[in-house]
Formats: sequence, C-alpha cells, structure tokens
Amino acid sequence: MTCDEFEQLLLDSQNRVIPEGWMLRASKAALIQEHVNSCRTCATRMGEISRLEKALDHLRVSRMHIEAPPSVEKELLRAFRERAARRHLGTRLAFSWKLAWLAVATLTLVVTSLLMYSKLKPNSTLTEKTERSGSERVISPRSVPVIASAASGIDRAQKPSPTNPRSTPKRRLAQAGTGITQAGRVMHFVPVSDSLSLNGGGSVVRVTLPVSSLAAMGVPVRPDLSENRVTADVWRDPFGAVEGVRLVPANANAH
Amino acid sequence: MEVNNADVEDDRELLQLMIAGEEQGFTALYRKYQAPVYRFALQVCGVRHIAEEAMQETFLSLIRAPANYRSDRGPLLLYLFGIARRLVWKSARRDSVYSPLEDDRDLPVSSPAFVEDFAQRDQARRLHHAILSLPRKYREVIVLCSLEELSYEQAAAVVGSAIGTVRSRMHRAKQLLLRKLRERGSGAAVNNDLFLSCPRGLDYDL
Repeated sequence: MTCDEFEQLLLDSQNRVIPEGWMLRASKAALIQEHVNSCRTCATRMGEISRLEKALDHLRVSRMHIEAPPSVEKELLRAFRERAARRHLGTRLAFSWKLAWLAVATLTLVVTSLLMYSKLKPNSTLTEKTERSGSERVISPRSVPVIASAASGIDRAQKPSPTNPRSTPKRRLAQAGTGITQAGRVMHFVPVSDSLSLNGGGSVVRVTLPVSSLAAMGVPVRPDLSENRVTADVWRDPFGAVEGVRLVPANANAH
Repeated sequence: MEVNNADVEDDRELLQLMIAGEEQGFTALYRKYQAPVYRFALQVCGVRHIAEEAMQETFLSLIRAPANYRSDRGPLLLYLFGIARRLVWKSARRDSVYSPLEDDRDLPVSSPAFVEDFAQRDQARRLHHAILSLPRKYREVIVLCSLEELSYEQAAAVVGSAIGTVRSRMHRAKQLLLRKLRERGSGAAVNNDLFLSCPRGLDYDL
C-alpha cells in the first residue's frame, strides 16, 4: 500500500474515530497497520485525521442545542395565519367567480345560438316552385346556383320587401320576368341590406357590367335589354367561381 | 440528523394538515426542523442575522408553496436544507460582508462537560473558524456530512451534485482543514495539541 492509497482510505472513512470504528476487511486492516508501522509520515497523518474526526464530533455535539430565536417562530406563525385566512377567503371568492363565469358563459351561448338561428333562418331555405305542378318544396341555398334579381330585365319596381322576402312566394312568381319562368324556377331577391355568410371563404365584388354578362353567368335575361349595363354584387367562392349575383339598385350605387 | 421512511410519512401528514390550513401541522414541522435548518445556515455562513433571515425565508417559502415539496424526491429536511443553502449564499453575496462568527460570541455552550473542558471548547472554536475559512463548496459538505450527519447521498441531493463530487469535496475539505489547523497551530509538526493551541486574535466564544 502506498502513502496515497493509505490517505485515500483514511479520508474516505465515514467513521468518527479511527481506527476504533475502522470498518475494513481484516486483510486490508492488516495492510494499513503494516503501512502505519513502516511509515512514520502516514502514522502521523492517521493521528491527525483521527483527531480531526474527533474534533468535528465534538463540534457537532457542542452545537446540538442551537435553535432559532423564538421571535422567528412568532413571525412565521403570524405569516401562516395570514396566509391561511387569505387562502380561505380566496377559495370562497374563487367559487363565486366560477359560478358567475358559468352563468355568463351559459347566457352567451344561449344568446349566440338564438342570434345564429335568427340569422340563418331566412336564408337557410329557398322555395322552389314549378309553374306546372304548383307544388312548393324547400331546397338548400347551394342547390340554387344563382341568386339574382327576378328583374333581370331591370324591373326593380317589382322587387318584394327586403324585410320579408319569403312572405309572398306566389306573388313573386307572378312578378317574375320571362327569363325566370323559362328556367322553371323562382329566383328570389337577396336584399341589398342582407349580409352574405362568407364563412366558407370567398368575396363579394361590386361591378358594372352589361346585362349580357349576366346571361353568361346563367342569369336569365331578356334579349332586348342585353345591351344595358347594370351594377351588381358578384359573390365569388375562394376559387373565383361565381356563387351568386345581386343587382344593386341605382340609389344604393350612389352611396 | 438521520432521516428515515417513518419521518417522511409523518412529514407528509403534517404537510397535508398545513396545506389544509391547520396551524398544528405547521407548528409541528417547524419545531421538528427549525434547529437543524438554523444550525446549518449558521454553521455555513457564520453570521447570525443571515442565518435567521435564511431560516425564516426557508419556512416562509414552505408556507407560501407547500406543494413545491415532493416527497418522492426525498425527505423534507433535505428540501429545507436546499432552500436554506440557496438563501444563505444569496444573502452572503448581497451583504458581501463576510465576517464569520462576529455575532457568535453569545452562543450558549451546550453540555456542562464542554463548559468544564475549556480546551475542548477552544478546540471546537478553532475548528469552526477553520471551517468558515474554507471555500464555500467544501464548507457546505463538511457541515452537511460531518456536523449534520447526512450521508454523502443526502448531501449530494442538497447541494445538487453527484455523490462522487461530494466525496471528493469531503476529502479535499478535510485536507484543507488539517492544513489550516496546522498553520494556525504551533507551526511545528503535528502533535497532540493540534487542536488545542489557540492562535492570537481569536477570542470569541462558542
């Protein structure tokens, strides 16, 4: 055993007293003893470390009694009581807030649902009626490719009330121009004040175009008025395809 | 201070009481751990007001956020030691006045045996002074392992290092302590009075 190995072993020992508490195998202990007997420096070293361990032990014992001043405990207890009281109040407040938020959320949900229902209801269905059978059926908006003024012949006087476009389907049928009846369906007005739902994307562009262009979009028009120009809002889907056309009255255009 | 599984269980129950707002829970925990935490802080920094402040802040942090302690990561005492350690070094840096044991004059002496044995008192005083003169990383492991009787593993958890690091620091700390004590002693070769010869100028009491 070298002196370094000896010191390493000595320092690595967790025992307080050396060599009384030396917990090594007999063979190793014999080696150590042999080294101590032969090396005066290590013997001294062993004595030093032994005394250091004892001194550390004495120091530990001498400090066992040390405690924090009582004032610290008082301060901490005061802080604990304050904290506990605040937490108790906080829990109650949090419960009240939770109830309030729940009520507000429920109310918002109900109001939003009602609003959406009332918004969607007029546009959600369109009435299609054939001249021949006179029967009426409800169809979805997507099944009508073009929503246009029945007055493709620029007869805005016949436009029904924007506030209730579905009120008189029979009357609207009677008011429809030649082009409409040729297509076999009633084209409803989309009032200017109505807002289109663009949730699915797309855009609305206001353009001035000849009546013949409306024909190209599939709107039935009177041939004798094909040279006239009209102002219309064109509703295009995200891919640019025309979804609908809405004729704009002259007075609305002025604004 | 030895920590076993029963302690951990007790601590968990006391902590639950404390979280529920029961003062008894906190009081029991405080009385159980205030002494080791305060002792650790005092022995590491050597300045009483820093030790008191660190200990108070340690328990305040337990009051503010008891859920931060997780019993699966170790005993509560080690958690408290860890907080106290950070606070002590933080306070020491902030104050940047490091006068070990300047407030330590009036610390009472523990056992009558020590009062009678002045030599041993003096020896302990000198040793403590030597510990306080150690670099921080050696000082804390000596205090934790030798004075607070933590295992290397527990000390490693407190200082946030590997066990091997703690072991090597302990070796180095003991070597440094021996050298310091020898230098402050008679200056001669080590003899039986190694810890009994008191240098001039160190006239404080434990």
